[in-house]
Amino acid sequence: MAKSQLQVIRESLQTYADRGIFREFSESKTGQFHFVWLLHREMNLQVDTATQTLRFKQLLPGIPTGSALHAELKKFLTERHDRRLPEHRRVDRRRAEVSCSSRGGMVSISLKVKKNQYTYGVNRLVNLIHDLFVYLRDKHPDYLVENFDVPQE
Amino acid sequence: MKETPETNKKTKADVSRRKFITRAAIGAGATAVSAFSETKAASAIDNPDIKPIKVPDEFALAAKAQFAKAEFPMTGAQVFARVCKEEGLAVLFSCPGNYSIVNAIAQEGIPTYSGRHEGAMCHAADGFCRVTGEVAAASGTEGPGFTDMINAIAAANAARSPVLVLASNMAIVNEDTEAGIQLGYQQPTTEGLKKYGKRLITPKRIHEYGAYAFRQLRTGVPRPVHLDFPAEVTRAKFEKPSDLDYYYDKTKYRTTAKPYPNPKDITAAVELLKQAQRPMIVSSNGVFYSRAWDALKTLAEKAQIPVVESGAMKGQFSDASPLSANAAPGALASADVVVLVGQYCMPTVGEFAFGPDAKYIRIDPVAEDIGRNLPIDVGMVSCEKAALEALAEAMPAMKHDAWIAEIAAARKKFEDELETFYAKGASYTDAVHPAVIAKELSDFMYRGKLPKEQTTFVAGGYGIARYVRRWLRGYRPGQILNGAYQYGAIGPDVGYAVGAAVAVRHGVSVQAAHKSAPVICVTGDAGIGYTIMELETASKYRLPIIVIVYNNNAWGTWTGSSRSPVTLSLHLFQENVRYDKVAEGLGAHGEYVTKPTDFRAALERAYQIAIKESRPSLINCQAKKEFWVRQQYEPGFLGTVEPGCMSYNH
Repeated sequence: MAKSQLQVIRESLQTYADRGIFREFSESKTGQFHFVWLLHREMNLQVDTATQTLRFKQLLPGIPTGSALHAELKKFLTERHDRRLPEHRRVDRRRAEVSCSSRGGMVSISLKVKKNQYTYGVNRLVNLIHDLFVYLRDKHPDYLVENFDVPQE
Repeated sequence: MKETPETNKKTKADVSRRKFITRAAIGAGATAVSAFSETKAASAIDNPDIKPIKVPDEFALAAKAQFAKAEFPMTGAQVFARVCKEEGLAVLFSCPGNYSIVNAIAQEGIPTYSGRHEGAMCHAADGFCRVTGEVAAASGTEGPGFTDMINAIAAANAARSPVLVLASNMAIVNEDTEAGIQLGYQQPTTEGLKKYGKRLITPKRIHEYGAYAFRQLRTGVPRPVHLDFPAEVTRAKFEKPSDLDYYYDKTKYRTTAKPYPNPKDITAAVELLKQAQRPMIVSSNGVFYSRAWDALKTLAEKAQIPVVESGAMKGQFSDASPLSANAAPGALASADVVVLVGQYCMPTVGEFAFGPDAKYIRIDPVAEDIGRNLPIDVGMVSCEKAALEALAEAMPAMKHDAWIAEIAAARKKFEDELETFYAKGASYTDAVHPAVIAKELSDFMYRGKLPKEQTTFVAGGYGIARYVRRWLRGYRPGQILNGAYQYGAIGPDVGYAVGAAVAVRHGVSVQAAHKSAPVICVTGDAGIGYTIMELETASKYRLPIIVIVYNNNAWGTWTGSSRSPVTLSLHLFQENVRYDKVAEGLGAHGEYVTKPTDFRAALERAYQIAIKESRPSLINCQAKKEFWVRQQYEPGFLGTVEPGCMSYNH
């Protein structure tokens, strides 16, 4: 019997937990996953199989819509689809599409998969979030200090 | 230091400060006597009543003095000094105090330097270790002389440096009496900051503990060792070797054996690497201390595995190689198998830029650290050199052309970005932007008249470090000392530079080919305040150090209070402070640079003085704190991506 779409996602995420990348991995309600990951912060990943969407909910605080950082973030996400990126770093638009939304300065990052390619989607989204935090460390250390309690020194 | 009745048992001549100074001046032995000349400050030339700064004649005398090596009967201090000599202690940095030990070590012919603050001298010892891989010692007197070293011991501990910390500690007979002054329990004070420590209380075991200290310093993961010496131990008399407990003959207590990798682990690592499409090696402290750079190069080139550096020093893998990924931060997240070699200070998940799918092979000389902080797929307990040699032997020749091309593209992108930073920085003409300092310094060291592998560099500072490191490149082991590193102490930089310059002066270890070349150090205006007095030490010993101060009138932390009128001033200094004038007052050459176009010429002048006069310089680069505000002055305060040229924490 074929695995459910949610089970595919669950197992893909569990792989990261088993390897020690995610800590305190749990599923509070069906399709709502929680784990401690980058910057030792709890992250929340919501899955909506009806819309084939994986969403890191309220991932980045303190980024008002229309702010310079919001625009930069959108550009960063768009560039993840750039065909000049190596395949292993790219989100292939034919298989998934990434976007962000902001409410009250809280930015969520979503990835909509196509044709139920959830294994690919989980892998791309987890890698994309990693890339995003590397980018913030490089270009916006002050933002991480102010919003993620990263030590200023 | 006030002396107790016990300490007064020694003759005055043996413990006098004058004798100490003479002994310490032995460190000047490698300097040409003619170098000890007067420094003619402008004020002295203008006004004949003002005498020039002058190195005392005793330094020239000391440079010619003969060592008087002890023979039995020997004191405890002399026995300990003999252990230091036998075990290859490369240098001692000190301030007055702990006279018996310091004098005995100097008499053994071990270069001995004295400075202005025990903490800075301990930083110097740390710096010396980090550019040579050898053991260096720092010494201070009991009580305050010892506690002055605490910050430096902590920094050396975080950097995993084999610093031997030596401190006198009054007399056993006076313990718990508060007789005299400067009493204190030393060993509990360094708890958590050392690999091993011991208050020596049994005179006849001094040789045994000395030898044990060196075994701790030279094996496994190095960290500071702290010994404190009561007077009864240093002044004990021994007629012959058999008066000492345990073994005097080093063949009875020492081995050069190293832990070799388990063949099963080599097989597992090779299998993982053979499957990898984008493997990468992280070379860190352990590659330096085990002298494994040739093995690293052999493995990297045979299997075409790119190398990125991290750690308290850099240069073990040349940035001239197309396999170097130090300046390719954008490619790090593509690595699928990462070999961590000698990465003693291990980051937690997400601190290194490797992606969440990367698998890890970790090579470490001690088993207890394997798997700490970062999950492993293969753990290998081994001397780094032995492991790299075994891997190089076992790995087939491979090609990773696409991966190496990806790294080249990432490097180009990074370097193109640096050019935009420089263009932007150079356009701000009313102060010196950090990108100007970084780029022009880089051009001077690597693309000018100097051989690019020549200059040993101390990468210090805070905000300025985030710029300079992006442009820094290493072309040989021991070329880059990675500043305060994981402990994040502010201010050690001039101390580090003294240690590095002494290493270069003596041509110790990997510095042999660059003997006596100038050393360049970058620091900030916050940091220079801690150790600027050591420019007097550098001037006194004629150490050719060029200290570049990024002077933005503020602590690097000011941006955190930029919107708080109440607390902002807590982060600010007076504006336009003349550190160059302070340097001149200490016998160094001073430059004050207020425009970006003047920096290169000031650097050239300072370098010429370093070459011709073997004298230190300070280049005070006047910046402004607002350079950290991105909205006003792009690119503003920069972050870091690790590992690689930007490595700061690990």
